[in-house]
Amino acid sequence: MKMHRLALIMLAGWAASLAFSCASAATVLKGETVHIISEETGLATWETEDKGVYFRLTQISKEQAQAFMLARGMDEKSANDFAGTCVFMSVLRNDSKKPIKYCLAEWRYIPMENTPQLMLTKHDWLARWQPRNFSKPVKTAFEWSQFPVEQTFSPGDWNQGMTTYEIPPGSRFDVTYRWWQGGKLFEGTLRNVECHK
Amino acid sequence: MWNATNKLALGGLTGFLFLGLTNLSWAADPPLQVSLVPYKPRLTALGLALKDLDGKTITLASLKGKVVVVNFWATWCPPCRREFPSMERLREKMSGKPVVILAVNEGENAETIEQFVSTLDLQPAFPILLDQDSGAMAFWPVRGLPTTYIVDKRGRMAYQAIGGREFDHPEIIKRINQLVREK
Repeated sequence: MKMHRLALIMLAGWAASLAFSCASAATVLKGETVHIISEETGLATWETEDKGVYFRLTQISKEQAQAFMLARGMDEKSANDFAGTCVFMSVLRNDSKKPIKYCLAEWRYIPMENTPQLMLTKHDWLARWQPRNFSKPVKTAFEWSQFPVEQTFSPGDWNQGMTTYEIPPGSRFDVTYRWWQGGKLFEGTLRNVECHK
Repeated sequence: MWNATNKLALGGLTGFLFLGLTNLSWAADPPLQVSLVPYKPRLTALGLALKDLDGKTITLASLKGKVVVVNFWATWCPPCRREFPSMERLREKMSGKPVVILAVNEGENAETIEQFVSTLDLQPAFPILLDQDSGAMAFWPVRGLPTTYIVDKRGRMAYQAIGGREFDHPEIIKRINQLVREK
């Protein structure tokens, strides 16, 4: 019994220290957010770079997101669910001289005048859709088209994938993105990003 | 209930919009990179045995003695589409040398791949392998597409690259030539 209590206390202490380190240890950076509108498509991009880590979001319209999923064989209801959120093509690139590691669980999006929200990952979507029994090709295409949930990038590595945000069309939000480098946690912010209308 | 005309119209619209998405990404995408990350130490490469578009099984083990570029990709992945032509240019530049490129497609069928290939100015002459159930990709340490590994002549992982690359860039060719010169 004592042993159990001791184990429980140790576990609680470990969890608390982990939560504390994740919540408070990040060095917050203040990179400028640049906003670009494509003349070709009218869609907007927001990008920023801090300590050689480049992050960018580009709007994907509802029609584009829906068409992409339908073209991969997804059923209409699921494609509509997905396209009904704010979908962005997301790019993270390591232009620094050291490896970085990120984990989407440590990122947040913050709707204006609201509390920080957890990022919606491919696992969250697949859990919602679990009863729909997607075929293997549909599941594969969906999973790999989404921004990876965690990755380690050596200098020069980068990746691209979709991220989704559950906020109303036309509303704005910030995204805090975090990465580990040389044992330290850094946090950058992409500010005032707008969901497509 | 969809009739054939509706399905055709939806297919056309879907194709148009998907192309739009792809073009959007192409127009605004960051440049393809030229860096390769060395494995230190080099580890024995994982197994790979997949059918190509002609139904012929190709194994990595059968390519010992050659430098093998293993690229995991899909037609719906914008950086994969962007880097694809550079792999064919690399193949041309490495012609006559013991270098093989394997493009491992994830989860798509031959028809979809052939449709994509038919849009390219430079037709790939390297094998495109079908990993329809993503079994190979799950086995290899791939976390996102595209990811590329370069295997040395002894069957060991020599380099890795996550994200799109310009494979015929002199920097990458130099690294591959170094691997070709190794015993």
